[in-house]
Order: sequence, then structure tokens, then C-alpha cells
Amino acid sequence: MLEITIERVLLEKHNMYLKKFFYLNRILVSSFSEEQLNRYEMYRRSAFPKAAIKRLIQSITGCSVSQNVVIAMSGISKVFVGEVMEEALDVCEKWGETPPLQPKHMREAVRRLKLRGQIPNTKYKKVTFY
Amino acid sequence: MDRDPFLRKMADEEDEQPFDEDVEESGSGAEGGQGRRKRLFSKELRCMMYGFGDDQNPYTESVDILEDLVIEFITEMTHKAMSIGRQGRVQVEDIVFLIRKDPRKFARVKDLLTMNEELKRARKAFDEANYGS
Repeated sequence: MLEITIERVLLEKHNMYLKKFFYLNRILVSSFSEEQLNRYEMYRRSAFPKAAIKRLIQSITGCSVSQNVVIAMSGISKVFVGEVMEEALDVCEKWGETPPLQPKHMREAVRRLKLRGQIPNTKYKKVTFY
Repeated sequence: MDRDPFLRKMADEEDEQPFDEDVEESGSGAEGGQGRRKRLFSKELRCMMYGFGDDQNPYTESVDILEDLVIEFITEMTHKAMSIGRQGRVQVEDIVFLIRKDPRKFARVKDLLTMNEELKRARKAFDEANYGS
């Protein structure tokens, strides 16, 4: 009985969180200027082409991958782009400059992310013994 | 394609240490190592960069750097995923496992997969309602 109650509470909490998020998000978006709306639309809609991602993964594995793998990989790649972009924009601002971002901003952003361990770099550690 | 004099000046000002071998490509001509690959997602990346806060027309050199970063990211993830779970294959569970300590990416993958399941269920229900199972 207790497990069902805890589960219900967590589910309800999650739903309330979602409702609050959508409510606040709607208020925010309704206050956007046209330029902000354009940018927001691009932010939401931009995505990597699934076919190219699938081809890339399959060229590395040598075997086929499921649709879910492509979806997951595209998704986290976009998050990754966002992390680099946020850092690069920070760098740009800190150096007293403005967009468009230049390669030097991108490079500095990557350098900082690497220091924080946010850029994977194992150069494919291979398992020698199972 | 000669580098823009503005960009050449920036390159001279930076220290010459490449931050990453793979991303070092610039300008024309094949280089050692990665070489000049055909650009895979230039259009989509431009939209993404604008969405994340860049100018509406990002510099091509910056787009290229980002593309190389993304390809390297996917390559790393793929290799790691191949080395865990079922060897030599990439499965969703492997990706979720690899990303477990990164809150943003973890939450994003869970969201995407959940949404996909709901979409599939909705589509199936729709098809059955309209055309019979």
C-alpha cells in the first residue's frame, strides 16, 4: 500500500512540475518580440537530419542501429551544441565582443568545457579483457 | 579559398597550439588525419546556432568547428557504447547509461524516448480506430 502512495505522490509532483513549467513558459513566450519569437522557433525546431546521424553511427559500428538510438544520439548532440554555444557566448561577452561568434570564441569555449570534463575524450578506450 | 584577412589576423593573434587535432581543418585542400570531409549538417547547425543565441548569419568557420565537434562527440559516444553492454552494438540502454551523470542530457533522452513511445501509441490507436487492426 505504501509503495502505491509514494508512487502516486511522485507522479503528481512531476505532473505539477510540468504544468508549472508550461504555464510559465507560455507567459514568457507571449511576451516575446518578433525577433525573440523567430529565435525561439529556431531553438525549438532545429534538429540534426536523422538520416545523416544514422549513416554516421552505422559507419562507425558497421551494423545497423535502431530508430531510438538515432533519436537519442541526435537529442544529446543538440544539448551538446547548446553547451558549447552557451560557453562561447559567455566568452564572447566576457571579451567585450558581440556575435557572430568567431572561431576563437569556439576554441576558448571548448578549452573551458574540457577543463570541466564536459567534452568526452577517451579516444575510444578499448576493453582488453572481458 | 583564402582565409579572410580578418580571420587571418585572429589566427596570428591566437597561440598556435591547436586545441584539438581533429578540428584543425580550415581553408581548402586535404589535410592529414581527418582531411576535408564533406559537410554533413551545415544548414541545420546554422539554424541551431541562431536558436542558441548566435547571429542570424553565423560565420562559416564557426559552423565548421561546431560540426567537427559534434562528429567527434557522436564518434566518442558510439565507440563507448560499443564497448559496453552488448559488444560491438549500440543500444539505447548503453547511451542512457553513458549519459547518466549529465543531468541535461539524461533528462533530454528520457523525454525524447517517452514522447516517441506516446507518439507511436497514439498513431497505432488512430490507425486501429480508422482502419481496424
